[in-house]
Amino acid sequence: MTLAGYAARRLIAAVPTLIGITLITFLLLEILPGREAALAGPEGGSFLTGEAVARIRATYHLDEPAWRRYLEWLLRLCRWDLGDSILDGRPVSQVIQEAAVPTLVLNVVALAMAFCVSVPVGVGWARRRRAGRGGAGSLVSYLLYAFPNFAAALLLQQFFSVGLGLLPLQGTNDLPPGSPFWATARDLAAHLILPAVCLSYGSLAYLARFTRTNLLEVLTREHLLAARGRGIGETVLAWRHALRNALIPLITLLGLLVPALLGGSVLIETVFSWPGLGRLYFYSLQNRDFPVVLGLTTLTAILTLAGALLADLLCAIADPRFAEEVTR
Amino acid sequence: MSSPSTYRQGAMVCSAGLLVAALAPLLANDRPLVARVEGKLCLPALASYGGPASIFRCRRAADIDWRRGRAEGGRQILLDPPIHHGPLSTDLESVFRPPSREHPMGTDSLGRDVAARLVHGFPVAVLVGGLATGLALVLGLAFGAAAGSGGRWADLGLCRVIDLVACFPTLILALALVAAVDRPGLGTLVGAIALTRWTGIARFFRGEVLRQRALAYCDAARAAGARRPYLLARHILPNALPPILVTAAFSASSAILLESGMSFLGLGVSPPTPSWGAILAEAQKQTHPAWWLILFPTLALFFTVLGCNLLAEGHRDATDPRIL
Repeated sequence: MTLAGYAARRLIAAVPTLIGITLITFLLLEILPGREAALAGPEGGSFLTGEAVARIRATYHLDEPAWRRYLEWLLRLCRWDLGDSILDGRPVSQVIQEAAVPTLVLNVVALAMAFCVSVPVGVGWARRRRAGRGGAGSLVSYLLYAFPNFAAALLLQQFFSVGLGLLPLQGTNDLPPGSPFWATARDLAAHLILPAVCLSYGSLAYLARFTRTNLLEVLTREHLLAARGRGIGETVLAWRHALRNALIPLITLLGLLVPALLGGSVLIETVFSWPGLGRLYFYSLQNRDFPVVLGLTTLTAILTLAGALLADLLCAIADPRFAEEVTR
Repeated sequence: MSSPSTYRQGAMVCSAGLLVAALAPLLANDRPLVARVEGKLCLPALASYGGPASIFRCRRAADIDWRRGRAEGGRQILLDPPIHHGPLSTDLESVFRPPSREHPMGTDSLGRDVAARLVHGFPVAVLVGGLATGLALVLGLAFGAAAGSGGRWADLGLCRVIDLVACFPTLILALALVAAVDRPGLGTLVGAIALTRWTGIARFFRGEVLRQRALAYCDAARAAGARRPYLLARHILPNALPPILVTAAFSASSAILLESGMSFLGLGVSPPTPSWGAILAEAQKQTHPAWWLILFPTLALFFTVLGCNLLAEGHRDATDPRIL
């Protein structure tokens, strides 16, 4: 079997999971209480008569059987039509697309920060251990990993924004629209610092440990012994020969990081009023904006599935041995 | 860090947390520890644990409002708890007080003592973390065992279910579940957290069952007449247990984090219940800079999570022969 065949088989296997995801989110929506009240609008909730409830149910086709609504919803989902938001009446797909940009910016910056710091730290740490040190780094990574990030966000806000006044407290932009590009960019960067740090330091600690552990394992392999025997220096050995092999599992890890980042940004985005997907999710859940909640839940689950699939395929491409194993 | 010290530090932090959780009503309480009421010696703080009042030797001690008139009508306080405020008792005359002798960690927007709420947050965290992890463990082991030993079709179906649940980001699924049930309380919270955390354990146990079933010792047990449930419970489970316990300890720390995160968002424990996340939420609602509302619950959360993680790491180092 070829690699394309493997990809096709994985895609086919993902179909039942995909259907299950939509079923679960639909079921969650079905049992959500107070749906009629929410559909009546922000003010209409508390005094609904029986007649009004019946009218709302008819308007939103809630009087039809559940399986039929599910199938209709599924068909619309395939066309990327997720219905309209209850709160402001705009299409859910548009609301989600708007919120996706800030989340993407935040997560890409956070991931880049984590990656750029953790790999050199992990390599240096792995090489130093052979000189007999390694305890302090281990301790720091434990401490960073255990520190709850939303609490860190509050502390950093208190210190840098309220106390010192160095960084903006929340949001993405303070300048009026139409300001010069560079000023806007600088403003955005200032707003980005704290949320990005909060989102990245946990994975930074984790990735540094991960790099170190894998590198230490790879450094004991025979082909590195051979390379050392040929007189290749330790620095080149670690960075060029060993790191490549050590980072292959990182692909899988990055695939698994997709749900963690989306889930993790619910708290961070709420603290920093960052107008992304996480805050949108929490806001919609609080205001019972079901189409948005449903769309976001389905979307994150599908992204998670896609992330895992993509990671496996990339692993197979990066490591011929893995490809041989899975395509056999 | 060498493994024995990691393990010891983790165990120390965790048992300290458990101790505070168990002794919370004795550490922070409106009622005195020892008092004399109408000439009789009694232990009013113990009444906070519930149970019949008569065992505290003083029937009325639990009903007295100890905050007002602390020494009137023939009462005499002999020994106060270290923090003589209850977690729920409000005092609107002293809101947002910074740490002082009277309130070592300050007060919140209702004048409640932060130290008392922090101490009473321990039982909440331990309860939610412990129960959710226990429930996730039971669910995971049941699913893993059924998938690993139930035959090809059961395996296929159950694995799909596991994959399915694992697709939802933890916090997003937990929040959706809590919103869907719409009956706030510890039970809902524990259930929602457990339902999002069992998949890892199920996957691992399924793999272990499949691997160990093929080993010679299982063949021997089967030849000796062991039936499947016996084999699973007495042979395979004990062999798979150390890594599962490591996962469970990590799971407990993330359940505690999840609980505080959800309480922070206002979808966790219901309002008057003291939770670290709820104290943090209190801080975020204020424009008033109240650092004491942030720092102390953060530290409590941090040390609890750190303790669980160290315990897990230590356990792994001690039981996993692959790691040197």
